[in-house]
Amino acid sequence: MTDKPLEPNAHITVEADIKIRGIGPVLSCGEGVDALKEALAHGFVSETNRVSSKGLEAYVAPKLSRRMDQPTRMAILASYLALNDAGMTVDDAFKNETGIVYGSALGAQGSTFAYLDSIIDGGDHCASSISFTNSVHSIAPSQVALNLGIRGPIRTITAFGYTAGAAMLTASNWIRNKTVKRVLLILCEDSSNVFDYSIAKMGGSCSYICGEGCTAFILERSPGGYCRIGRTEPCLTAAEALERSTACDKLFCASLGESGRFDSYNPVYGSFYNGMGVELAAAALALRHSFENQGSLKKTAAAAVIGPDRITFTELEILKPENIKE
Amino acid sequence: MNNIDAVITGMGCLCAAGTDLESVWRSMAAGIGRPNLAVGLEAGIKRLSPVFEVPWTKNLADKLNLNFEGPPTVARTRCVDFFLHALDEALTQAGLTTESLRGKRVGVAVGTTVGCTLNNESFYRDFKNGLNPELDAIHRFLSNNPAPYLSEALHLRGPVSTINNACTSGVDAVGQGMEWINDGLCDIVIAGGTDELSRIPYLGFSSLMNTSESPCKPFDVQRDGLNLGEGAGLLILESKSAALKRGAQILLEVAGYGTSTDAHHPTAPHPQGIGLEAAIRRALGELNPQVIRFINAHGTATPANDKVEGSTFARIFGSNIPVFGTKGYTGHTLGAAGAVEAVFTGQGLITGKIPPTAGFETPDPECLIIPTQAVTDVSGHYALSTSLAFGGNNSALVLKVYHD
Repeated sequence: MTDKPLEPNAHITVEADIKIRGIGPVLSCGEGVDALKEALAHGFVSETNRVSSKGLEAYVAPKLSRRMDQPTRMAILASYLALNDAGMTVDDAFKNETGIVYGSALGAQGSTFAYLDSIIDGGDHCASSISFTNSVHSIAPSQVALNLGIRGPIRTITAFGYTAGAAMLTASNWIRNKTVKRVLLILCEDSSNVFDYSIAKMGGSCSYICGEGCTAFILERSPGGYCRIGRTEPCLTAAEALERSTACDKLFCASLGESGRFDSYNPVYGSFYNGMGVELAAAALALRHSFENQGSLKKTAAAAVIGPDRITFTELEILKPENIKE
Repeated sequence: MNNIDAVITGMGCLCAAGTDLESVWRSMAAGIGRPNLAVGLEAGIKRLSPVFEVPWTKNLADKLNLNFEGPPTVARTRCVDFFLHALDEALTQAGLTTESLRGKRVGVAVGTTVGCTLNNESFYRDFKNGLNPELDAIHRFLSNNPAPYLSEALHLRGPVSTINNACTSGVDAVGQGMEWINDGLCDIVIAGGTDELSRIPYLGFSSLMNTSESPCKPFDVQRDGLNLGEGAGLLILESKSAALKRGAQILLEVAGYGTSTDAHHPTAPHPQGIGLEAAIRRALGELNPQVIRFINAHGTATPANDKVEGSTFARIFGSNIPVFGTKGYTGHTLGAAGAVEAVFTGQGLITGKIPPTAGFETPDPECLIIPTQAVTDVSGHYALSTSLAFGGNNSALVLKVYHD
């Protein structure tokens, strides 16, 4: 319990002994951890900014998936890939002890516009109930819960650049306070022609290439995994983030083109608001598999630049050798 | 979870029933809801449903502009205006000012649906028709997500979260705030929900055949759907120690919050209310259900929702527990609903009275409860508010009236 006084500029730090047990990337550079590792190691530059989610067929029958929209397809596939990566099976204990935290910075864009299409093309009386339902931002995690039978809590966060940080805080809180045993953290973003157009029209004021993708993580207090999640600080100044980064071997930062001060793997996945999810996966993988011949890393961090002086920052730490995921 | 640390020191609310909590409460005590026929929504459909509009006036807008300076080049949305208006009321009650929060560990958690959805129809129509539209609508969207807007406009240094859990968003934002306080992340959290009427969800709910062509009738045997509404509800949450230290008057304690999912159907609740019961039991924690003195129900007036809620309440608390629904005064305010109703629940505990359920006339035997039909005296310390949502989300909040 807090006893801290009201102090100006006090930092908000969350520390929790939580591990990343499994990672499920679904990106334009490929699906699964191996695809992401390969892309990071070889500096893959995406030729398309769209994600196919073709691997979904292995988990969901086409007659069920055909009405799903892009975020739902990516989120379900990413969840299965993270589960497989963690070596977990979906039994009753898993269903009852797991919560879902879903972050989508801008919400379900494709379905929102598909729904507007139905109104504009056919008239008000042709408003599509399916597209309307899919345009509700929380439908993707609900469909994940339906597919996996998860009965724990779901929280959907749509807070633009703040999304990944708020999602990390929620996941940590739920595990630390034993609301659930584990969290399926899903950071997802679909793209749209509208945002491609908007970014292009913004011209020089916005330099990034729109992408889309989804990264799911299995987080829990298990002894083993990729790494330990250190502190999360949701609202640092740029100077504070730079100071924190000096204590880390490498910082992975989703910058949206607003800051050139930090390294970013944006070219691998195409920038999007929730890119911190991919950077977090890269930061975790770097602790286990040194790509770019960086040598052995002990501490990495993932960050997202929200605004000129607002940065979310999460530290990851290497585990004891016997607990490192093979 | 009954490890109480989060307390409530201020509340604010506006909806179709009034533009502050006192006027809303007075209006609800009179027992009459006043929806009107979708003025401004201009829907080209046969099945028109009345809606509950906030009586927003130029005077209210002008007053708001004096108190809050946002980004000068981008117009605020009604969603943000509503939330700021409710914030003004809540901060006054809490004895705080926006200036006193500047640079402090103050979090912002807001539930909304329309407020974080890019559904600007005219912009999209122009885009679709190849008219190369200007980006005013995009800039407005990117500047008006309620939680980031407020945190940045007030220069706060706390976590920021906009929750879009459909119709449980508002209560989930309060739950998020409680988690941050109990975790020691913040001294204060501005937590609540806000939503505005829009043609887009209006047509969507109509396409799902969830709306009624007449004023809604929560828990009534002849209920046939919801009416949409708009508004905002907001709570100032503080850690008890921080509130006591600054000499604040504590109104209520957040005694518990629980949430769960049905994993049953994308748009319909589990018929046995399994997820709702789990959420309620999580919110109760170690509390005996018998300490709950009344319930503010989600009460959307859809056949499925009210049946599930009523039967679940009866199973846990017995059929005689006082239950009231307020959608007949406010309409369904979507992402704001859970927060607006948390405010009503708190006000019921503070005043010892709960209002009649507007629209209810004839009991439905399948609901297993009979909601209030007149202003009802309630005593005791604890009360429950519930919300259900698209996707099978269920959330419950337990509030306790504060005594030194």
